[in-house]
Amino acid sequence: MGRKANHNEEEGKRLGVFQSMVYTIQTLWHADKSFVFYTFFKNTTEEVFITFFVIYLMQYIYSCIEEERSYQGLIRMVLLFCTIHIIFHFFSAGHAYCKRLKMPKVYSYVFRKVIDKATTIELSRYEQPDFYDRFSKALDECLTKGLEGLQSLTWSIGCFLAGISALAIIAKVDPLLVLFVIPPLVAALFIGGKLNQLHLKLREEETRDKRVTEYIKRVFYEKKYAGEIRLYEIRKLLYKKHADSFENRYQISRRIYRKIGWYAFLQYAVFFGLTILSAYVYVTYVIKTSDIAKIGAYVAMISSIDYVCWRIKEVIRHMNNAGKCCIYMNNLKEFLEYESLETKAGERLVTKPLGEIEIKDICFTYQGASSGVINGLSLSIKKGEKIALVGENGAGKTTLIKLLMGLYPLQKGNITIDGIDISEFEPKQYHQHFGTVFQDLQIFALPLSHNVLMREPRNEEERILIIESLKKAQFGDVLKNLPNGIDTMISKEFDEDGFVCSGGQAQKIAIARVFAKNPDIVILDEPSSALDPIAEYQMYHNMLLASEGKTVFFISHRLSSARIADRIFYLEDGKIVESGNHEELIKKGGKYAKMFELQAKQYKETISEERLSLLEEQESAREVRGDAES
Amino acid sequence: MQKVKNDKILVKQLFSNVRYSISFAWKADKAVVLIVYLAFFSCFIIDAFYSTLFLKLFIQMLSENKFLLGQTIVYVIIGIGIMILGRAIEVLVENWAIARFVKVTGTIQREFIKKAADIDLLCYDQKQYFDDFVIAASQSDEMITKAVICTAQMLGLSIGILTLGTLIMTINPIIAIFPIAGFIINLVTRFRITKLEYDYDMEYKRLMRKADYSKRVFYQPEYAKEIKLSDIEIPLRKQFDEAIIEIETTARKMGVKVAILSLINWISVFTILSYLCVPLYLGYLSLVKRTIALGDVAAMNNAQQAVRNNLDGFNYSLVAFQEVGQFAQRFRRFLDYEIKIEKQCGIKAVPRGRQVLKIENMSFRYEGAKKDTLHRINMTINPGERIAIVGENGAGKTTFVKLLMRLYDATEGSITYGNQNIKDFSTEEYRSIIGAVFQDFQLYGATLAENVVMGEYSKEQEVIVRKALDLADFTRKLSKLSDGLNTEMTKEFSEKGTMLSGGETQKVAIARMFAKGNELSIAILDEPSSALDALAEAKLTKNMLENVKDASIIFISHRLSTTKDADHIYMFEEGRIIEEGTHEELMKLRGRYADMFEKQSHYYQDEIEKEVS
Repeated sequence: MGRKANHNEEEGKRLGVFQSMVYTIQTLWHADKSFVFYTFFKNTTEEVFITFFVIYLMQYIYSCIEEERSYQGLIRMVLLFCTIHIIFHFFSAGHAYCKRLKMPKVYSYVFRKVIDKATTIELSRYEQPDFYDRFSKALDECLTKGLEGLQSLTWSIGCFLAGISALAIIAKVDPLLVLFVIPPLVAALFIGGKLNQLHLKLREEETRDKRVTEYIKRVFYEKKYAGEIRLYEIRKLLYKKHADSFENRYQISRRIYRKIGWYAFLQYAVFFGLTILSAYVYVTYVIKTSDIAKIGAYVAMISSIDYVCWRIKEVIRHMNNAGKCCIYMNNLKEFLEYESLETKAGERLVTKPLGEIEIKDICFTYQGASSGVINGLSLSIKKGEKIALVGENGAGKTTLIKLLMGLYPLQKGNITIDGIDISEFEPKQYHQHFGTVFQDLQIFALPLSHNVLMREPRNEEERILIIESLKKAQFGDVLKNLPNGIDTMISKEFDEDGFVCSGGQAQKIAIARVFAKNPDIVILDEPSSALDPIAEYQMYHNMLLASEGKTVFFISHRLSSARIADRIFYLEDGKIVESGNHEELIKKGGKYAKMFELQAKQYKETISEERLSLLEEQESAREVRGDAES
Repeated sequence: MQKVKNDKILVKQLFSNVRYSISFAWKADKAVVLIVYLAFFSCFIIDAFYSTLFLKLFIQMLSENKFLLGQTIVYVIIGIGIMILGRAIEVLVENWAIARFVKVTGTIQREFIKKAADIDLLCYDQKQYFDDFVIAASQSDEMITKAVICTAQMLGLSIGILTLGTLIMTINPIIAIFPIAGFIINLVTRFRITKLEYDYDMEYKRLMRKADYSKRVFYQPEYAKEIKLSDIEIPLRKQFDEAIIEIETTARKMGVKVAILSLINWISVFTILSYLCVPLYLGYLSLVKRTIALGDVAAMNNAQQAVRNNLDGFNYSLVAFQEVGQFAQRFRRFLDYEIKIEKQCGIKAVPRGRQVLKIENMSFRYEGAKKDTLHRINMTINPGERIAIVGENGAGKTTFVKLLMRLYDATEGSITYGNQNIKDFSTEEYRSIIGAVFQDFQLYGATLAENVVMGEYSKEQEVIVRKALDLADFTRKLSKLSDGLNTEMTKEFSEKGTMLSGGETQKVAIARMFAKGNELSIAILDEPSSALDALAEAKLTKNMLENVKDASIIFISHRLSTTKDADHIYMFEEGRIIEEGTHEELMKLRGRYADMFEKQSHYYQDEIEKEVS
């Protein structure tokens, strides 16, 4: 049936629909066998029974009355059918109950598969712009769609069987009547395909304008746009775009729905004109020209033809719907079958604290980017050194850190720690040795304690550790005011009384994580951007105290923090262009010095305009030289 | 405006709300409303006649020999012809109406978003308004369409029921008892089931949100690093599992109740009343009493089933009706909301040229808050002055600038511009002299040029836009954009759109101010340099000061290095100004400002000392 239903689509896609149906059933079968079986059983047998219940019983009653058979016989028959009908009600109610009960089970089965997979997919894949669209959005829908697909598929099979049964009953009364079913069958197949095409076309043509209108609607209702919308005149432009796009949508819809309307009309015309009308005429002819008094049976058969036609339409509608729904499950399949590179990761365990880091001639280019972010970078770092990475936006500072942590696979060169290539380490355990505060740090809708320890605290000692870490991260004052202390739920996602933290507070929690973890290597990626000056100062102070003997990487725009580093690396275009400690770099008078002067100028009364322009001249002279050399 | 919960709404209100929704659609497009009603009306009548009267007469003609073959066939052709006509009307109107509703939706949506843009900002900033108000309004267009459809359906169904009822009454009134009894049982049980389902749905959604949250975290790119680097997945998985178990428990409890009620409903309404009693009664009449013929039996049987189907349909429409009625209550409030600030026409014109902005004894308190967010603020800003506002997070700095822009109105005290209270101006005109870069600046799905002029862009504006972008240090990026000023921003509309980084977006936001040119009298920058690196920040500050020289600049910053050169610095703490003066004055004061400045410049300071020596 699947083939027939989608006969208008090309071969390859047809196969795709069929395969996705198989995959959907397989997945649900693995999740819960009894549910799939029950659904199949209930939806198919019920449809077949209803056919007998409606058609056969009606025919029986009409014949009884016409032929004036005994009333007792009628009562017996009706009672028998009604009893079976009640049994089927029990099946139905049971199925609804079963579905409600099994849904969470199926859901958690798929969820586990998804997250097991998600944790093995390499980070670079996540950061590709289409990742979220392709997987996340699609995965959200796939399960409900999959279940709907199963329903539709089983209904479609049930309707098909019901149609066949009805035809058998009709054939028993008069085999010729079966012929009347052919036109609607052909029409349903042909017009059904056409209608599908038209709907597809509509969706395609409408996409852009629909996105525009939905976007504009969102802009007006979302909080983050509210201020600007009021202050600037941009709304007038948006109204105009909204009106234009809706006009386009209307024109497209009008054009396509007019066609859809006529096709649908054609379908009805075939259905009523060819089938029902000719069936009526045929029945009239048979009854009027022959002596057989079977009016009841024949009249019941006209209703049966109506019933069969309706079933045919249902088979095709459900089958199409099943196909549409099951296609969504392909997203899940694609996600679960995605060949992740990280699975090839090493198995070596980190046995002692991480020490000397040696980075040799590494390169990295983001997929789809035209030029590399890291281009042949080398450096070596001793244990316990405080390193500052500075440079303009896009110089590759954050990428370098991610490469060091093994979050991206290296494309060239290698990174070794204490002589061991980092790709040999077991990733999960390797990561345990890092404490990181990222630029885009995330807070989870879990209790505060979980957010700091990144797992459930197991004993009182760990709870004390959490409190201490929060205090060190300047969160102590806030903590004092939290009614449930470290058990306070963060965010209002699940708890009305949850604590919503500001950007600065979130950063403090992220910093507390580092304190609680006590790692070998500390990485702070722009840790102070959301903090006010006093908090920033105290944070650095504490951080330095706490990271005694540990290797620390700072990334910061504010060079004041770079000053405290043992060594500073100035990055540009994925290479290190200057390195040394603060004094050395200032003496050198290069890029770092210029950047520092610019920032410090605001705090210094003594710096002269001349010195700044001198620096700028030196800079441009170097650039000219550089150009000449290349 | 009290909080609207899932409160009980009186039936009278329900009707009035639905009527209100329909009148809204009526205003938007009379034709579509009228035709949808007519189509439903005619279809149900035709259906009712087809399934009963037509069949009855047909059987009669077949069984009685006085009707000839030809006559019967003519009768059939006419009858089915009318039926086809009815279907043709239905299917053509349906598809016409679907297209037409697209247009209606657009019109309604536009009316609502226009209103949304005029609603005072306070409604967005306060959660209780936002949830009940803005969210409700965002779904209004669907609800209005639903109102038309469900009432048209109810009308059609009632007409169908009336027609069928009349037919049944003329043949045998007793038959009518069965569908009516069925309807009543259905109404009662269905109501209980709907209520149970609703409660379950609420609970399910609540629990599912918990489960979904965990799932979402696992594949959202922004969480990926944290997940990979830590063990946070363990508590997240646990949270998910707990939610699933809770769902199962509720489902089990609820499921039994629903199953029992459904069984009562199905068995009594469908099996017993419809398929058992009616055939047996009809059989009794014709076989034992011999009062009716086959034609009547068939017609009666069909009629009672049709009545039951219609009544069922009516039940479902009622649910939709109720939903619309309850929802409309909310968007009615939204439309009735009395706008206090936006769209005010004003009684005085904004004075030309740059004027003094004076804030006197101004306090502001959010509705329902226990204390003032801003308390008795006094400030005078002369034309061309550069004012810095500093202070810790939550000191009231952002609220203060929102008041300056008249996004909020002061609870007490006043703001005057050129000696006129800003409340006397037209809001739109007053805001046209202000340029602002918000903390949460946004890029819009439009071309780059449109994002700078914040409106329709014409070729004549090219020089202004280019200059504005240049001053905002965006030129280098601009040269890399393939379509230059016409580059489509954001990926909202198509994959080809260009995304900008945080720093680049901020530059565009700043360019908006430069593009205002001479109109600009007050420039407000809320943390303007937070996403910029040091070089870009330095360049930007220089450009700001040089190019908007005559305008007053008010900027909020954490970085005291930026605020140092301001003509006047105000230090905010807990909604009050605790220190003010020039940088030197404040340093001399040795108060909070000096403390903050010293800590921040701590690391630079050594350098200074070294250089001095």
